[in-house]
Amino acid sequence: MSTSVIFFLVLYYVVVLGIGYWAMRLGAGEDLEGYLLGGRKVGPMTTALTLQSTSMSGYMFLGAGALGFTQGYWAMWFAAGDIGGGVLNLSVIGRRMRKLSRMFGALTSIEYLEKRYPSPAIRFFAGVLTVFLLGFYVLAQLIAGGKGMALVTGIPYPFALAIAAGIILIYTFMGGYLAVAYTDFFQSIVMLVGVMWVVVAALSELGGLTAANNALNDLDPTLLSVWGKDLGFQGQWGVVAGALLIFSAGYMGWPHVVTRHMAMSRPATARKAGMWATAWNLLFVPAPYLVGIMAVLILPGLDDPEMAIFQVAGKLLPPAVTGLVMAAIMAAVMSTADSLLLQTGSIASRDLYERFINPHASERQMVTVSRGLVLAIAAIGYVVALYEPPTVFSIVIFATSVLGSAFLPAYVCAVWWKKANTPGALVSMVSGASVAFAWQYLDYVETTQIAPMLAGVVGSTVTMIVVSLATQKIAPVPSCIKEVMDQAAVVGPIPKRLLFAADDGLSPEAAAIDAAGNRRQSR
Amino acid sequence: MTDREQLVVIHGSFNATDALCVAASLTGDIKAKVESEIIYPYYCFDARCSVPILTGRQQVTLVCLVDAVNGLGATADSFELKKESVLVEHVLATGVAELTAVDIAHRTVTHHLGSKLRTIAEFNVTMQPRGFIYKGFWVVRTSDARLLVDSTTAGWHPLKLMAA
Repeated sequence: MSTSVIFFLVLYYVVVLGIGYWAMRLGAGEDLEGYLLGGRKVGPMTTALTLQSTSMSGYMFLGAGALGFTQGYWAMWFAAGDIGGGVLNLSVIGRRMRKLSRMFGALTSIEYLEKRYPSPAIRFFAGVLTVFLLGFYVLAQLIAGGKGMALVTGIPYPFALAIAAGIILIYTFMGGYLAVAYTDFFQSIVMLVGVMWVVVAALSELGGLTAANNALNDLDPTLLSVWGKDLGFQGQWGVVAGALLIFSAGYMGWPHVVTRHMAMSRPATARKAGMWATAWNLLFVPAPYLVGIMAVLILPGLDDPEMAIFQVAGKLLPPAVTGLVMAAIMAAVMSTADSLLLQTGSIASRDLYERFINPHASERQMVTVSRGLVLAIAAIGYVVALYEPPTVFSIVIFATSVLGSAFLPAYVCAVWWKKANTPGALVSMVSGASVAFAWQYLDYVETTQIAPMLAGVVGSTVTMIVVSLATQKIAPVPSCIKEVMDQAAVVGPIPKRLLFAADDGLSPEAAAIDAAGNRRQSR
Repeated sequence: MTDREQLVVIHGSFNATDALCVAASLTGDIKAKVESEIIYPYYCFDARCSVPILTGRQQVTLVCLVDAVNGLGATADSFELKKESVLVEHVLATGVAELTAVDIAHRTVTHHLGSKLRTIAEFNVTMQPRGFIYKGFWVVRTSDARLLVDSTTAGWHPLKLMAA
C-alpha cells in the first residue's frame, strides 16, 4: 500500500478527533450538563446513523465480502435479513421493553431479565453467557482491525494486530469526546460512502451489473443462484431460514442490541430514526456482499476471501479513496468494538461482580473490574487472533447464533406473554444456547440441513412454552409483574397512532397513580 | 379533608385548562374534565461528578431525581422550583427510604455517565441531597379515557379506566 493511503487514513483519524473535540467544546462549560442529560440537539437522523455505525461491525467488510466471494448471490439471504432486522426488533419489542425496563428500574438488559423473571440464576447464566459470547465478538473485531492494518501499512500481522488492539482499547477507555454522537454520525457516513465507492468502481470495471452477471454466468453459473456455489444449499430451507433469521429476528436476542431500547428517546423520535436506519441499511447492507461477488471476477486468484473488499479497493481506487475505504473499515471495527467492550465491562461489573460477589462495591472497584475484564478480553483475543485466527465470518456467526438462540424467546416473551415464567426462561436460555452451540460444534448442519440459529431458536422457543405452561402452578408469574406488563400494554381507547406520542417516561408515575386510585377505590 | 401544606414544587407551565386541551386534542372530547390533581414526590440530589474531557477532567453537577413512590432514578433537565401550598390529600404517599434513594441515585448517575460518554471511567460521584421536591400532574377524564398530564412538559400517559 502506498504512503498516500496511510496519509488519508491518518487524516481520517485527525478529522474524527477534531469532530470529537469540536463536539465537546460545543458541550463544554455550562452546556456540558445539558449534553450529559439530554443530548437534546441530536435529532432522529443522527440517532439512527449513530446506531447503524455501532451495529455494523468489521464483519460487514470482511465476513460479508468473503461470503459473497465464496458463495455468490446466496450471500444475499443474510443481507435480506439484515435490512429489516432493525425495524423488526424495534416493532416487536422496542416500545414495550422501553416501558417495562423503566418501570422495573433496570439499568442493563441482563438486570431487566432478572426483574422480569425473578431469579438470581437467570441473571447469572445470562451474564456469564453474554460476557463469554461478546468476548468472541470482540475477537472478530480485533482480527478485522489487524488484517486491515497489516494490509494498509504493510507491517507484519502480529504488530498490526497489536496496533489495532491498542487503538480499540484507547478508544474504549477514552470514550467521551471520541465516541460522541457526532463522531459516530461521521463514521456512518464514511462507511456508507466508502463501501458505495467500491461498489461503483467494481461495477464500472465490469461494465455494469448485467455485464458482471453475464461474466459470472460464464465463469460459474451457480454463483448466480440463491442456492450457493455448486448449488451446495439447494433445497436446504433450514439453512436459508437460519441465514435470514440470524440478522433479523436474531437481533431481538442480543443483549447488547436490545439494551438500546432501554435508552431510547420518545417513540416518535425512535420511529423517525427507524426510517432513517432502514434507508441507510438499504444502501449499505447489500453492498459488501455485492463487492465480494464482483471480486470473483476482479481478483480471480485471491488467496484470502476475507480480504476481497480491501483488495478490490486497492486495485480499482486511487490512493485517497482507498484510504477512505480503509478508514471506513476501521470505523466499523472501532465503533462496534468499543460498544461491545463497554457492554461486556458493564455486564461483568454490574450484573456479575456487584450482584453476586460484592453487593457494596465502590465505584472504583466496579471500574477496576470493567477495565480488568476489557484488558483480559483484549489480551486473550490477541493471543487467539495471533496463533489460531478463525475467520471473522465464523466467529460472528457462532456468537450471534448462540446469543440469538439463547435470548430471543426470553426477550420477546418478556413483553408479550404473561405466562412466561422463571423456569421457562431459564430452561429456554440453557437449551437455546446448548442446541446452537452443539449444532455448530458437532457440525449437524451437514446432516440435518438446518442452520444452528434455526435449531437453537426452535429449541429455546419450544422449551419456553412447554416449561412455562407446565410450571404455572409451582412458579406463577408474580402479580406485580403482570400488573407492570398490563401497564406496558396499550391502555385506554387512545388511537394507536396517538399512543406513539405518549410520554413513556411517565409510565412509573402512571402505574403509581393507578395503584393509589385502586387502593382508594377498595377502601 | 382540606388540610394544606407548603411544599417545594417544580414550577409547572401547564395548568388544568392546558391539560384539558391536551386531552381534547387527543381524544376529540371537548367535554373532558379534570378528575384530580396529583402532587408526586421525588427525592432530589445534586450529583457532583468529575467527567473526563479532552484536556483532563471537568467538574459537573447533574440533577438526579428518585421517584419516592417506586424508587426509580433518572437524571433530570434543569427546572425551577417554587413553594406552593397544596392540599395534603393530593400528595401521593412515599414508599422509599432516603438511604435507599441515595444508593439508587448513585447507581443511576454512574450508569448514565458511563453509557452517555461511552467510556469506562471513574466519575467520583458525590451526592448532595436536596430533600423532597414535588411535581404536579393532572388526571383528566374524557368520555372513554383517563389521561395523566404532566404540568411541566404537557407530556401525557394513559391511565387505567377501571381506577376511576
